[in-house]
Amino acid sequence: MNRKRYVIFIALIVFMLIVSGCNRSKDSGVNKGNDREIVVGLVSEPDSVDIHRTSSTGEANIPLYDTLLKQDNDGNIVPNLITDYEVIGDGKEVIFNLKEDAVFHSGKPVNAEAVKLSFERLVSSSPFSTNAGDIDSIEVLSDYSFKITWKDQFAPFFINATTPFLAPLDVSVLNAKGEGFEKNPSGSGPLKLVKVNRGDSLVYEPYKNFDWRGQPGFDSVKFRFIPDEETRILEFKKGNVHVLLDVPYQYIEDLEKDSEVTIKRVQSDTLSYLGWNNKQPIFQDVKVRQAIALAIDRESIIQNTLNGEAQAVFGPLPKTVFGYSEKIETMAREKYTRDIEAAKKLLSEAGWNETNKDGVVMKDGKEFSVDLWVDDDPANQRAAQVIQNQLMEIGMKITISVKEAATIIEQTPKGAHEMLLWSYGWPDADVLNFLLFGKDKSKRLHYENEKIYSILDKAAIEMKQDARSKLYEEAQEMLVEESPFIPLYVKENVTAIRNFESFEIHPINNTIDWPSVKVSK
Amino acid sequence: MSSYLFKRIFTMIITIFGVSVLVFIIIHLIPGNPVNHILGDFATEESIKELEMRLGLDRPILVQYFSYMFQAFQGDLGTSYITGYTVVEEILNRIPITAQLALYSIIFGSITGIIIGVIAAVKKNTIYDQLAMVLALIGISAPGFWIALFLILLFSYQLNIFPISGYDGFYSLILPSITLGLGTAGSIARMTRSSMLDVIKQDYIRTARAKGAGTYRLIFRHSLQNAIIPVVTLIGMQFGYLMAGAVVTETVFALPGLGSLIVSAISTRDIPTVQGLLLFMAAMIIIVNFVIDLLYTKLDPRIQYE
Amino acid sequence: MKKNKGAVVGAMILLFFIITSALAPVIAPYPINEMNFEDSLQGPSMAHWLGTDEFGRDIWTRMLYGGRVSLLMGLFAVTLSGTIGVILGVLAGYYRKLDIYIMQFIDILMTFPSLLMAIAIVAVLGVGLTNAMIAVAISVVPSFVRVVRGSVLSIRETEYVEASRAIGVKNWKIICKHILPNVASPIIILATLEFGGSILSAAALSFLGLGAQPPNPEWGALVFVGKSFLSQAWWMTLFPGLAIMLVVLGFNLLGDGLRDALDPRSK
Repeated sequence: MNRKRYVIFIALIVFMLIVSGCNRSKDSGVNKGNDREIVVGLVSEPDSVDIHRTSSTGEANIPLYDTLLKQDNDGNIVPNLITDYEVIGDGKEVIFNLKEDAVFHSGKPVNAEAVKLSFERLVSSSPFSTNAGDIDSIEVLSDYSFKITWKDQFAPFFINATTPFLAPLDVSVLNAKGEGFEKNPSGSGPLKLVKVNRGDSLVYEPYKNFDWRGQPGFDSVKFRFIPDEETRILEFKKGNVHVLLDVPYQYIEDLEKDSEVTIKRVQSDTLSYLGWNNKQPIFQDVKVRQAIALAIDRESIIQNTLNGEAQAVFGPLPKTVFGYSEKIETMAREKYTRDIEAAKKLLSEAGWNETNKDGVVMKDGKEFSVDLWVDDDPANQRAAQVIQNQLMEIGMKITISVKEAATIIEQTPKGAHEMLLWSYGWPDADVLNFLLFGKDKSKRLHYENEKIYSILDKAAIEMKQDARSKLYEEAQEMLVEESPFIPLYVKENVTAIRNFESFEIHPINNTIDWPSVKVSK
Repeated sequence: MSSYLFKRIFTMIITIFGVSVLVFIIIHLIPGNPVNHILGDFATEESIKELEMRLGLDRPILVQYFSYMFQAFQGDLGTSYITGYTVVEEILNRIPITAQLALYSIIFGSITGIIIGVIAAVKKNTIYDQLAMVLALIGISAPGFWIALFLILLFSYQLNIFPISGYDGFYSLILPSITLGLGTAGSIARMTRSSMLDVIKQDYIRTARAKGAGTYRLIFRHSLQNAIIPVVTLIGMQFGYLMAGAVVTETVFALPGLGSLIVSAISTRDIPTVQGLLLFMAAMIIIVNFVIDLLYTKLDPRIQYE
Repeated sequence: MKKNKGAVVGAMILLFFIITSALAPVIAPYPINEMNFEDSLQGPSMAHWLGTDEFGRDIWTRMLYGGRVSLLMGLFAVTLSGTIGVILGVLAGYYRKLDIYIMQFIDILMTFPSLLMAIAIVAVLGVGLTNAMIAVAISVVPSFVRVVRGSVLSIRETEYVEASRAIGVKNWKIICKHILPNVASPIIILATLEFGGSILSAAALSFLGLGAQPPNPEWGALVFVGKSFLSQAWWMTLFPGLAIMLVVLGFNLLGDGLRDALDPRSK
């Protein structure tokens, strides 16, 4: 009897070992043969590589696509997949002519029919379909020429077409339901997806039919997803990761000491701002809103939470965005440079003139206390704490609530929030309309102002760039005065690299310029 | 035995059914409509309605539940709205890692735990015993995530012995398994010690000793063999604990297993994935416990069930 | 007797943390949230015993206040789960008709490992300290129910309870007078052990970013923040984690000792 028990127990252990042994052999030998492999470390896996499905684009899914137009290094819009375009009549119709040698990763040509089908899928199912404008019809004129007709003029189309959201995607790889792209992805960008390790990495190789301006300087790229800051840094320091995107700010100095490491900085087009739900009674008074603006010390946040790697922004649009105006920026800077006394004065004029024992201002027996939402990015959480301390200096009590980005995106349009630390990144001033202050489109800020609506609506259909900028300047002037949100800063996007002969990052849209990338021998 | 088996299978089915109801309720209580999340900021009333219809979210909740369960029994746990992958695919992709992690942790925990427990029992009431038991308690009390951070810093970064993060075969799972297995080792050490002490007191050991059996022979041939039974049950009970611990461990070591999947699915509101995973994990735990129960009767024929 | 040495050590560890936490406002050398950017990321020194964090805040001060949060979280979780557990356990053990339903429900809850359960509950309720406490409490309920039910079952069959019932004493009187006092010791033992367990679970939730929010110095949250600075400021991570370990160890030692003293079966 004893022996039998013993045998069963041993058999169990042996069985477990065999099972584990089987699994082990499976993963060995991958990527060992590649001597020019680049490993890129980034925070999170894109939710999808399907550009019509994903809610966010990043380095790991952008290179799959090539765009119709692109921005050159000075921010001018230049042709890319198209050779030229022609605006017809009042601007509701535009004819596009495609390059004839572009090929999808599946081997199919990027022709007018393919682009039309891609746009149709975008319009019918992408969360970002509004970026294409209100399209009435798309007509194939010849193999490489097509015409888009909009219901209304849509000026932001050309700049929007430089983003991957409007890039053509090869619909021929989709199944009957129009899905399945992630299993068999095909775009026309520089990198072709060869392997998906869910939750761990995406492996790409250079696509041979892409215009590499010579030979690709590497054999494969592996995007590894490492959520933890510290782990990501350690992997880079140890040399297992060659390109570290979004270097955590607290480690930049440390890495700069390493002579093998090059730090690349590009100013991002993403503006971080402190916003609030303007429908909340507490934010109704413009004096309160201006007081908050006066209490914020951008430099202190930048120096102490971002290691100085950011530029303070006072006006509603950062420098890289079409519609930015030096005049507005200067005006806002003069108006809202930190002034605690002025802020306190405004607050007391607004009726917040008593102070309780904790130093919190009161009005009609109620203390000024609001909830600040922030996402789970560690740097943002640090910034939130500095903001909390700065606002406490004028007697505003802030409680910080960390929410997942998904929750913030979902809850803010319903107005469930009070204050939030958030950001937007879009290359065109139309973002003021479609995301920030447009009628029924003020998703995060819930700001209502008929005058601003009408200016933004006019600007969206104004096809002349000069007149368009003028309109945006007018809107921004009102926004500075009304202070419905507080622009804070644009962060420096910091990338650390090692062992590259050359490596360029696009100065405007911040993505890696893959044809320029050459691994050192 | 067969009537016991029948009864046991019956309660197992009831429990799985109950778990599915509970999971379904929890999932439907999670705030936020997945449709809003998919369509993003620019959804219109129309597009929301249409997508709800396409996903079957406009049907009465009971209908949704039964159709979900019907498909689940056919091996279809739904498809993620966000990633486009089916939940079964995701689970199959990742289960090898979590399974290995759990397995190695159990092996690590059992071996260290049994060794420490045996030492403590044999050297009862000496300083070795006390030291062993303090160690075991520390294993149970220390936060795994905290231990993991320092293990990485020391062994992976400073000493360069193990990979820092990610999955690359057995070698990359050593530190995570130690982290995860510490608690198990502590519990098993305590259990081994007390059950060995129980066994040593018993008559047949005294007889063996009287017959002149050597100490080591005694320990291994008689005491340990009998003391192992409650330890095996404990290992079964540890399985659920390991599943939960995997969530934290996989996050720290950036391992693409089931634990890190559930964390990311919750944070992106990927409802079908969360639902399928909870159901799958619960079912696994129920089944493992069932198997352990059966093993238990095989290991110790003295045990009889009503 | 030997075991009780452990219990004394455990009690002393706990006493130390309880007293220092309670006296935090008095003995803390610095204001809790005061930022002092010049002193950021300083290692342990005479001025800052356990070093400073990224804002130059004193870690020792923050840990003192954090102890209040962690200990109160544990207390809350144990009280809530203990109350629910005792009610359900007594109902199941005393009213045999309810037993099968309650226990089936508890079996279902038991299927989910407690941390996984807590994560799912936080997903429903939302991230935050209060919700994390509730989640931890709910995840501990099943063990209380099981223990209480078991004890009630054994007491229920004793002669004096049967006699009371025979002479027509009301059920609730029997429960209050005879049953509850007799299940007190297993409840106390379990509560002590689960106190430590709850602190550990709550810390794990905070570590995953699901529990306490910044700038709350709950110990798990301190470890969470500290790990971003691990290789340049190990003290931010080491000390809070050590505190969690010691407190949990304290509860385990005390719980073991109590078990030896109160539970006749273990002798």
